[in-house]
Amino acid sequence: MIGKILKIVLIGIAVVLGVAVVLFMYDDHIMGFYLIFGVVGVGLFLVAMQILSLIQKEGRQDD
Amino acid sequence: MIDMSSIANIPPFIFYFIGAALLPLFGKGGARKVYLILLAVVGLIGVAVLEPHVGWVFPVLPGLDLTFLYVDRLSLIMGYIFAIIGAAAILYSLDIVKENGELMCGLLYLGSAMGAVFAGDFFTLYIFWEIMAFASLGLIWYTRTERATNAGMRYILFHLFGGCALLAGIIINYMGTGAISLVPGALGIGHFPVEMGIGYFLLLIGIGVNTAFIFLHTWLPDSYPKATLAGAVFMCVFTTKTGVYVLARTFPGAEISLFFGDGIPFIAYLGGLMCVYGVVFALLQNDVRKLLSYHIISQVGYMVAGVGIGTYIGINGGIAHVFNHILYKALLFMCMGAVIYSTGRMNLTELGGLARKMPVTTITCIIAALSISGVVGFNGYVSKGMIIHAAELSHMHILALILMLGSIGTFLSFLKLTYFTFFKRNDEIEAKEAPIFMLIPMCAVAFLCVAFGVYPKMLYEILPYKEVALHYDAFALAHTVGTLELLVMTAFMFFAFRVLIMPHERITYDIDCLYRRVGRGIIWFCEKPLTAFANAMDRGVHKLTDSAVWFSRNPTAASIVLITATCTKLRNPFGSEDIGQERDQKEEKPQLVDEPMEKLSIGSGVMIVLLFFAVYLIVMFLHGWLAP
Repeated sequence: MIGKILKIVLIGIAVVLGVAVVLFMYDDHIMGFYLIFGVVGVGLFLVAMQILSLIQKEGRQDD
Repeated sequence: MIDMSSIANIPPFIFYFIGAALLPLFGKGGARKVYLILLAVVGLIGVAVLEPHVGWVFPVLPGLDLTFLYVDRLSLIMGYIFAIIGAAAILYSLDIVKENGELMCGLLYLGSAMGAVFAGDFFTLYIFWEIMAFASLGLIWYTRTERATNAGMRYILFHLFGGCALLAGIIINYMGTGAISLVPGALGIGHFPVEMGIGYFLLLIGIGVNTAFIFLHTWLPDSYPKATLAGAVFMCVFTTKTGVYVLARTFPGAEISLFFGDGIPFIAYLGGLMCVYGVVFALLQNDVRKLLSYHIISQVGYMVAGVGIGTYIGINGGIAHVFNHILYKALLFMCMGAVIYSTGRMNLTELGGLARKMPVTTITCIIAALSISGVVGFNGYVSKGMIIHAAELSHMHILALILMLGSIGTFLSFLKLTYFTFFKRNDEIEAKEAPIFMLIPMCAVAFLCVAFGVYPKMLYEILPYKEVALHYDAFALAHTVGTLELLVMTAFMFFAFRVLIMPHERITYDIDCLYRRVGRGIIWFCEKPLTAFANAMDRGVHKLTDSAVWFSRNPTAASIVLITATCTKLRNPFGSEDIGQERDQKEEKPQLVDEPMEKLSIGSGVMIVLLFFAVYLIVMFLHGWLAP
């Protein structure tokens, strides 16, 4: 569990740095902005999924 | 020659309501199929011949008219898409729906959605709003499973809450502004004036339930996956889109002021939040229809953002996205319905290898996936681009980035859906292509997704603000290249990190988990403390009534007993209880009261009443005399 949280924190830091780069680049629309945004966006979703997986429970989705 | 003006401008809900009422007469065989096809065609024609017009006005109370037909460009585009997809859903149902009741619910649902978008005032809209809720409930309950029954109960509870909030909001706003009618609107499109206050927020909550705002959305992923296969196709179209339509009528560009600063277009940012929230939860899902349900929240987020931006191009974008979304979302539900119909499986972990066994379903599903992901050449690209462009023009750059982020998540999610449903190796699965009546509407809708994507001017022509729409260039080079870059990189990342996105058999918790805990707490509160309090109250009231009965049997004797008891208490207020005396009083109490009462004559009674009346008059006279 602690290892997983550590991994999420590390990926999170990388993604936050990526978001900062995206916001910096967005003003100037530098060539390749969308490529970087694509990578950062997927990273964000992966981190979000990992965080939410912490509160998921094993088993079939039921009511 | 037939005068078209005489048959035009009939409220379209009438066709579907009458159609639903007559359906049982046609049995369950070939006659029913012919009848339903004719009904779908009549519904399409009925909407196609509508012209901007106000009609079917029925005065109910002085100053209050119910207007059943208000046609302007905004209601017309909604009517077109409802009729198109209604016809597709009817065709889709022909082979797979066995019970007439389910089809009747579908037709009533379609008709009431039509009634809501063509309503000329808020009371009429509310009537159809409620019919929609109950008709769609039938589509969930016709699954006839315990899960569906429970989900249906939660669904209707949510919608009744939303309906009550909407009605209260309408009434409060009516009392404040006197506004109830959507007719006539400035610039040809009616907007409903809403006054800030409690009515404003109740209206917003009422609309927010149907539009699946965050915190009010849980009914959607809970109920849609449990609806019948054809029912889900109906359901994915009408409720949320009617909500967006009403939002566009009431809250376009709504702002809220915080800390005495400039107004913040909170509806637009709420849309952005919905967009990302829906995608994140969709990525976690294993049930294909639950995944699609979360994507409805996400896609409705785009529409809410467009309406929330509030500019002409923003509203155009939001409504264009309603139109496009209905096409590809219905197609996705049709495709997944076909998959479940053929395989009996609904989880991504159990599917795979269907591309060769169900080629038509695979191709149409890919078209829908590309459309919802906003790939160039498909319809989603046009409307999403318009909303993002509107955000940039309004200097909402953060919102534009959030909406682009939603695009990335959507593409990621649909790569997952199509890959694990159709292309992942699965040798065990047995399936054959869906029946022809399922495939025909799927192919027709897929064709429309491509047609509106390649030739968006067809859509621009029918948007609420046509002139503004015609100035928008969907295929501007920078936008096209940028979108392609974004999607290519997303696809690359999906295949690189496929392991992390693989579906799993897991229970996902959403906000409804909190609601259920709160609900259980309320049930406990009702069963334990509240019941104990009610019992205590009950005992108290019984005691009081017993005393009143005892007193009324012989007021004179009862008064003597009471006075004696009081005097005894006053004589010795701090002394110890004299048990003997108390016992004597208790024994004396019933005896005295049970003695025959000394009755007054009628004249004496009248005298007492007149005396009280005279005292009352004197007091009133003095009050009036003393008053300034």
